[in-house]
Amino acid sequence: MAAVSLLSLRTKYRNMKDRKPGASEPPAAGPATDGEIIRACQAGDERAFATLVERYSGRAYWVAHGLLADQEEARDVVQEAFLRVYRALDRFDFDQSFYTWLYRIVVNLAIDRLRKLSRARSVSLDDVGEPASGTSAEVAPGRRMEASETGVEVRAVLARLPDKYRTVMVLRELNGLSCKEIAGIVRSSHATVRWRLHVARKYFKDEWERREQRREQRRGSGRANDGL
Amino acid sequence: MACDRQRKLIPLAAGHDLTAAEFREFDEHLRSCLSCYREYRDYQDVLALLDPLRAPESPAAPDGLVEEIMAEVRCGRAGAHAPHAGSLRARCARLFPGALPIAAALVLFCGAGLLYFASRGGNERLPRIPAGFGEPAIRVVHDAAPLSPADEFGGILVIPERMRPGKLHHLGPAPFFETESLPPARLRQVSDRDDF
Ligand SMILES: [Zn+2]
Repeated sequence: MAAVSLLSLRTKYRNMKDRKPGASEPPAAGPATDGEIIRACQAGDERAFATLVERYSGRAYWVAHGLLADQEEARDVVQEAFLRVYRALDRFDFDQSFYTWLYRIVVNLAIDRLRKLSRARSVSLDDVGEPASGTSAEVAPGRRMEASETGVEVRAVLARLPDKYRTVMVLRELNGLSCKEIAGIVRSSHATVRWRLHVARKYFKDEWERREQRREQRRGSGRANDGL
Repeated sequence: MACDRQRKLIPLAAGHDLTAAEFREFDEHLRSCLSCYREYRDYQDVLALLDPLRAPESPAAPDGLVEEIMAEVRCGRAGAHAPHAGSLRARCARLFPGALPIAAALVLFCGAGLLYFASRGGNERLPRIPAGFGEPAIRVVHDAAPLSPADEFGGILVIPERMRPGKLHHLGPAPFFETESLPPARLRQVSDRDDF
């Protein structure tokens, strides 16, 4: 066991959880680090695990939703990912960061599920809901676009990307993770992630422009028919 | 040609993914090359389509998700099945109401079968492990990725590495166990996964 007092750890993260907004905190007690919380989990403290869930389930959900474009599937994947994490915490490698490990599991589960559901090629309007948010007030009006025709088209283009390219697009473009962070998640080199991002953006742009051209052609032929 | 070299950087530049040195060179080139500049703007316009899909800076979990996860964790710790709204297993239970007793019966049946073969000292019922995976072995993981409809309730993955031949490992308080031989392709896929 690490040379950190478990009692002080528990006090630390409980103080953090129970802290009222705006309340002053003791100068020495910053938020517990992931490593500290994981050690408390390993000692059997369930509340410590709840802290990890509260800290990372939001981002994990957005990663899963970015890949799956389905709220229920994304929830399931995040649940399953945390369960796996919980069962494997005793074997946690403290040399890596917790979120890298968690998001890797989320990505792998989401891709497994995509393959199973064979949704990659058929994103319907129903699937492309807004990612559920804590409160509806948090959803900016611009996000309504997602359910619009353009939003569906954008999702459909993303869905056409091969898994490894879609993964880097979702992690980088939708979740703002750095190439270095993504390299840790997908277990590739920084250079590989940059290359995949390069290819993915090119593919996305080319595919979008092809669709635009087809739309233009349809509009053109529609006008020609109207003129007859 | 300067254009050829800089064009390759455009997709990364449009997403602000150039190193400082690359950026200086790229920026210098754009000042004198309208064609590259237009291409760069096109990329930026297309990537901007993704803006409405972007996650907020500190995204909150959807309502009830944290509670659902913690309920699943408690359920797993107790080794008992306690359905609650929205959970994977609760949903499975709703979809296949008769499957829980069947799965329990399978557990007993397979457990008895395994005990029988273990007592005979034979491992002929164990999956055939392709060569090249190190020690042939089996590992049972509760709630792993479902392999078949019956596995929705507590799947089993067969992982050929790390385990001793003929030994069945139960990890965690899984309510259901079922053995299954996996095709080599699946074995390879499982063993290549690194998040277990
Ligand atoms: Zn140029």
